[in-house]
Amino acid sequence: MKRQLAALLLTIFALSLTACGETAAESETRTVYAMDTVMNLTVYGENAAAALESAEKELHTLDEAVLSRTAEGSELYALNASNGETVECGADDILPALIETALAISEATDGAFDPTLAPVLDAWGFTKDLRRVPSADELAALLAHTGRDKVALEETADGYSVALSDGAQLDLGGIAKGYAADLLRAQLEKEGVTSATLDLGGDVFVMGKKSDGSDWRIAVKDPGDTESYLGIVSASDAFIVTSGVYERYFEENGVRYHHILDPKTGSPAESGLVSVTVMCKNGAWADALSTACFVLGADGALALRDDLAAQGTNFELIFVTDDGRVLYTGGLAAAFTPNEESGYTYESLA
Amino acid sequence: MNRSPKLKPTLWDALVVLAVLALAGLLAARPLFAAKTAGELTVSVSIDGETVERCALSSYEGGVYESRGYTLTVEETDGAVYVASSDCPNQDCVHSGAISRVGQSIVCLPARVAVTLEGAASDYDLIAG
Repeated sequence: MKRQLAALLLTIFALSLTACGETAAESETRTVYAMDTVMNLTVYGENAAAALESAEKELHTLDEAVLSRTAEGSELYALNASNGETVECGADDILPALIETALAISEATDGAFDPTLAPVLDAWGFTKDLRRVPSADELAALLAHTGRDKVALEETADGYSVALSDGAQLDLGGIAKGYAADLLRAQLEKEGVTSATLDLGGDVFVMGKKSDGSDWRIAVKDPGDTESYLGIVSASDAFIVTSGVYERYFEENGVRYHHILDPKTGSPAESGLVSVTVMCKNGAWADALSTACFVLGADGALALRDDLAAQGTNFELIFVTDDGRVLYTGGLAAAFTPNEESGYTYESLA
Repeated sequence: MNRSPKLKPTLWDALVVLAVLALAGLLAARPLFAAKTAGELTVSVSIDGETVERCALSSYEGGVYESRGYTLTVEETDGAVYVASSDCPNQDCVHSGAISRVGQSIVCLPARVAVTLEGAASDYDLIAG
């Protein structure tokens, strides 16, 4: 009887211990307002506080000293104000490196991503919170000042030289957050961080795996009902970026105008899509490709995916079409779990 | 060979056994209670990254928040919160609509006000888009 009682007690104790679950890993989260958005950075491990401190500093420096179009002290402001004069940059400067990446993506996407749309974005008021519908003549005149051929970036003995011609102006908002995430990732790795999540205004980077060794689970926002989500992507060491019509828009005379402009027309892109999500291993590419793929539409984006895969750049896509379908590429077949309650029709593409 | 005397259980022994059983039962059942608690949503309102209000969604009655010269009115209806009005220039926070799931947030960039729903019980770790 005593042995049976002892066995029972031991069993109950063992069960109670296994039921306690895992202790949450040590982590710290910080909210940062930079690059015209809000960012939530969470770092796991002993170095979390110090790593977040330097990450926040990096973001503010990038925003205020390098990439801001409106802060008079920034390098981009100075370049845009140079009136076509050549601006010299150091070999390790961030601005020429980012411009080089932006021009490469613009070329790869045949201009569907265009970092020179600044005057057109301004005309629509998306950058100044004074939204309006520009006339066709106004847009045509502004488009004459856009295009990557108006940006001359050259290597020099001391670094780089950059010059903008024909009144061109750069707006790197379509790539800056992704590029910032790339820089933060490198910095976190340097500080020994192996697990973190960076949410830069909805552009997500998941570093490493969760403390229990499993992949991160990222819900992709439903563009038709931002209270809901399309599905969940399981991933580690990946950037996930969405461009959609729901992010920034305004309505005038019953027409909705969103902020993703087609560089060919200067007007909101009409490609049969309402959102595009890109997953890949590089933040800058993920960010810029989400815009380019939206502009190109599903067929154009899939052709681009094939072209870039042949050159060694791989990425996965989730499209939401304007007729209520969710299409996702083959590389996500195992990683993407559709939300069956969303009301969409889901199709996995080969 | 000496044999140890046969021990006879006393009332104290029974009490100790009962106490141990009760403790073990509580430990085993703890995650069940914890899961229930984690399922409750918490409304967190921050201004410029600093939390200014944090309470259970079930007891949140909305609020008026002023920051950087703008005023936002946040309301709660049927388990969802939304920005009912704002005098910010772009109205993105008002356009964001209502949020009712863990991890969702409404952000007013001009005012630097963020309204977030928190809670541990969720199918996902973060939201893209």
